Amino acid sequence: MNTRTRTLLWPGLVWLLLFFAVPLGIILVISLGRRTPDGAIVWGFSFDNYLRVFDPLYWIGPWWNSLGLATLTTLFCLVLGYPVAYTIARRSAAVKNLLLFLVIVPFLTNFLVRIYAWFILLRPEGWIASLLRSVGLELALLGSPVGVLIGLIYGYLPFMIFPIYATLERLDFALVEAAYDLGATRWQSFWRIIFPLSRPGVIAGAVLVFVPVLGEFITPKLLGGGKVPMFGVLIEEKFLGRVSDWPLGAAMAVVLMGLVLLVLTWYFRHLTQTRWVG
Amino acid sequence: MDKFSVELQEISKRFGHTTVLEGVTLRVRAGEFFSLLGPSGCGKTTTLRIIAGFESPDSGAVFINGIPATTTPPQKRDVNLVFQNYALFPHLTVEQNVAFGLEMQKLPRSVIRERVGRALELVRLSGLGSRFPHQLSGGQQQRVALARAIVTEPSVLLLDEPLGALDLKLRQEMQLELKRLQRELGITFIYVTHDQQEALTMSDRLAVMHWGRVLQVGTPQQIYEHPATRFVAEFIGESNFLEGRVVHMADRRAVVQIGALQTDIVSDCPLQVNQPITLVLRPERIQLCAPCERDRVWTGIVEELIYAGSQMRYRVRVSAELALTVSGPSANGITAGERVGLTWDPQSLRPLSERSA
Repeated sequence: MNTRTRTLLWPGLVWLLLFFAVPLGIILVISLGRRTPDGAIVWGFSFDNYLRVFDPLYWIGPWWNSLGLATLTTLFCLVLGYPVAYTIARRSAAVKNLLLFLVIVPFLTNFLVRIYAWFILLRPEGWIASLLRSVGLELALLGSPVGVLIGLIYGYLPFMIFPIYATLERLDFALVEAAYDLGATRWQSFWRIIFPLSRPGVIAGAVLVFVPVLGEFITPKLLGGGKVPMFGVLIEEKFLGRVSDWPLGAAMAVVLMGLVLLVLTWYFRHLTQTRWVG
Repeated sequence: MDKFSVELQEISKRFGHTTVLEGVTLRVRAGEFFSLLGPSGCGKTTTLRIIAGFESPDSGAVFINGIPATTTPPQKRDVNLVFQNYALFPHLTVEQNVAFGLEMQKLPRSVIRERVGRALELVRLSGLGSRFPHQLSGGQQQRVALARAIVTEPSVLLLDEPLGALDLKLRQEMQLELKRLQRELGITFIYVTHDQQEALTMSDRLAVMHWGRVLQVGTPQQIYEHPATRFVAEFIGESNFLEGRVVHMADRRAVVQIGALQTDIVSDCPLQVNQPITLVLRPERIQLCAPCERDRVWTGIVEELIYAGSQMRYRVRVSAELALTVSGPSANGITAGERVGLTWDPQSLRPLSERSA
């Protein structure tokens, strides 16, 4: 790298240092401190907050909610998104662009507005609930994990569709014909050829859904109505809630970040380990 | 009666408003090396895909080994296709690629292992079984594609311009290899190519296609020596076309007037006096001689010499409107501007059955 390129890097580096690395350091320092009964922070060096994050008595619910909902959202997005991606990838160029545009359209509206729309749809007096009630299903949607799950799937589905589409779009359909020619049924050629070849897209999509859902805040806050404590919601409460506990909130944030880093490390290791070139 | 491996009856196919095939009828005998030859867009690949079952004809019938197969899906046809770009599964090793068809037949593991080994041996790839396709050269990938297609022992192997992506040297090597393979396996090969040299050297019989129609079917020799149409004569080798009129007819011999010139021909089919006729004369069938030679047919002026290695090509003007291409040995001392005599056997002139096509 020559000196000029290095000079060009400086503004970005300074920005990251000031607004990313430094705040992260502050969070780390806070997480090692302690909270006084009146809510102030006492600086210190103890791992008590971390032990509390992993205390099953308090945290089984949030852990379960965050990991469980992130996993379920990822699975549902995969099952719903894969056929969509496949269908789009097999169309002609003009239809492709139109369909891709339709997938993006919701993004043109503010996310908060769209989640509020779901809030209205999922109300007990909303048509979805009454439809379910008419077939004998008394299901609380709002303020339940189910409602949050619906909102999360809705919000993150495009993040699954796009990477899968990208890999399927490059897939040479002659490979599928070759499989048919050698006697494979549609089902066999899907599982033996198409799916394995689209795996990089599936994994990228899974990471793009799983990682942000783990830290999701708005959807569980609004559609969960405080009854579906996911990590994001709890962290916000610890910092901005009536009974604040910054050191505990900071420790939770650090643990969440560690989890995300774990997932990403696995993902990048997977990327470099792929032996064939698609 | 011959046993036919593949029989196509009056196949027609349209894509949208374009007619790709029109009334294609072909009979491929069991165990023969049959080529579909034609320029790109002539419908040869579509014909192959119809035989493989990837396209269904709009009308007409397909028979494979005498059994109606027009609507049989590709999985159930006793034919395998070697794809133009090989279509090897990139995420599977060479061995897994070759084993794929056998696994679909749910054969026992030991049988699969043995037959994969034998197929790789046959295409001379033993020892490369654990490689991935992208770790192989183009020629090796070609061999994997062949092994994968023959391992299930189909009765017909379809090959879609399989050597198109290889360089000349490798191409010639693979041509011999394919012939050897076909002899050893004794199965029918249907080979699509646009390379007339390839089709002539490899095929037992070939069909020349143009604009969705079969123009002529025959052995390489029949097609080269007796081209049915102007297109066939032009596409296979080089030709001089002489347009004229029959002026005299006796027995099988006729005299044809071409502009101010005349030549004798020998024709198998009856001709009528005054009938317009197009004659094909291959450049290598013309000999150059001294302009005063007694048995010369015509005389002309050498306009141009083109050096082509072992051969020399001459452009000889015989009249204001007609110049002939002549090929001959390169070291005969003829120079441009020289006056020469031209001579040929009357049998070398072939009348075309159509005036133009």
